[in-house]
Amino acid sequence: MAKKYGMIIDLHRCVGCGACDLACKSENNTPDGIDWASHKIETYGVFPKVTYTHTPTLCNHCEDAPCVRVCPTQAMHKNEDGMVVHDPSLCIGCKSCMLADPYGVIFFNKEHAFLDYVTDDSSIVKGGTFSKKELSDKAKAPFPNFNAARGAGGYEAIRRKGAVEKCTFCNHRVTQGLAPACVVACPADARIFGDLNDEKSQISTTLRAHKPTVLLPEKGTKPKVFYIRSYN
Amino acid sequence: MMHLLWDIRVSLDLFLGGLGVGAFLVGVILYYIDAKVYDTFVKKSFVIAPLLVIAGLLLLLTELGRPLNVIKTIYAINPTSFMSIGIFLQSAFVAVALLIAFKVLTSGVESLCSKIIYAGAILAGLVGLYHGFLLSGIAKEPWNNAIPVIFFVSSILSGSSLMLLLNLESLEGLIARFKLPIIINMILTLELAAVFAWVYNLALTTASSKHAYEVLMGSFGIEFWGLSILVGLIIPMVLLTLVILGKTSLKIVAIPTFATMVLGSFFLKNLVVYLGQAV
Ligand code: SF4
Ligand code: SF4
Repeated sequence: MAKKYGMIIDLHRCVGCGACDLACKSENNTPDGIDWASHKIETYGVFPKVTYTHTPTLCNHCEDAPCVRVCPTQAMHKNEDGMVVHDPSLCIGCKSCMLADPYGVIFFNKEHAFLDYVTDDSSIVKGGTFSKKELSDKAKAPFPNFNAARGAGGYEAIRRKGAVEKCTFCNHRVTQGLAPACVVACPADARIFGDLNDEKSQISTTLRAHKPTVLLPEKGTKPKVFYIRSYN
Repeated sequence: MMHLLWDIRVSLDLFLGGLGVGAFLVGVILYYIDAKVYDTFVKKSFVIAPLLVIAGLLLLLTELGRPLNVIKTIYAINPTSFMSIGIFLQSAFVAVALLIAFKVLTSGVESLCSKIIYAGAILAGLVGLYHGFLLSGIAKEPWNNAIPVIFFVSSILSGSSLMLLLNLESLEGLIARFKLPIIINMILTLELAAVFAWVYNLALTTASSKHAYEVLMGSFGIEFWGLSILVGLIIPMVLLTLVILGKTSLKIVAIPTFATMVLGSFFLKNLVVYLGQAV
């Protein structure tokens, strides 16, 4: 049977450290303002009865994905493993997917990310000589967190401007048999990633043991990122 | 400041595209009624229509992150995306409309074949509807299923108003033959009804659509009541009613009536595009 990947985030285990956000940034070298893995923090109630919640967020790889439905070029599409992925070579940058996505997890790359590390020859410290360009030239990487492994196998390591982008469930790692970077980085083991079609997988057994919730269920998108053991 | 993904260029594309579609359809109607009598009017309509649609599309291209990739929409078709289908419709309409414009300019209205006009009319109608479906397909609360009707009627009103403004000399003949003020007031009433159905829907359905309704009445109140309803629909309706009642002549009020209808169409479409992104 084809695989159908999903993720569980255990809110009782999550300590809100943000390691997942950082791991994603470093794995996928997302520039400033583009956060494939992120979180929302909410505070409710009136003092002294105040509740605080920290919810990690990412693309939900929805089964019924509105971003895929509206894309005029199939740049945003579902792959054979049920992941919602994006082909920048087809993207016209119309941003329809961003408008259709109710979760706000798609970003528009309006500038060449890290271009300064390729072009900026001015010294970093006043009076010094070392420049950003020199750093990337010496390191043989176009910018500090350049990930050549992500660039292998058909994925863009450097994403050029004018297209949208979002979390890919680290598809480039999953095809190598590895877990997404955020899952590996989580110090509290709050994330479980796996095949929902495999009844014996950890994700399936955990989902059976706990009543999961999803974000914005009323939107009918059938998210594949599940939250268990919520605060309330 | 509101964070906009689509700015005024998208509103202008929908507005100019609508003007073109409306202008073309008026030309078609007069062509079939009497191509000889309305020769100049028909000629102007058929020449202006594709230019307006093309101007809108060029503005839209500047809004895209990768405009050159548009060529790939020809083979990477997504049947569930209105934009994917709309690109074919608009291209087909522009091609047919340009051909008609070329024939009109080189050999005159009488050289046109009625089959190609018919094909152009069907495509114009589909493009006019597509402009609204483009938004409603994205499924934001303010871009609900009333939008295709609102946009289509608005396009007919604005396109015909523009053409009447450009053909003021043939106004008298048109009034005598068609009772123009009554026809236009009926279409204005239809547009008002569609707009109120939209607002009613927003106010009464889901929690998020109620929120959209509150934003419409709050931050967008002036654009809605003042510019879209009063300027675009009520003022022309009142002026035309005065004409129907014999209090004034259409010749006297023609310019303010048709100009406010054109402006109102832009205000309404711009409001809808912005409201969908504000909620
Ligand atoms: S979360 Fe948003 S971007 Fe991800 S699949 Fe669902 S609709 Fe698309
Ligand atoms: S921005 Fe790109 S991915 Fe998104 S809908 Fe447009 S073409 Fe598709």
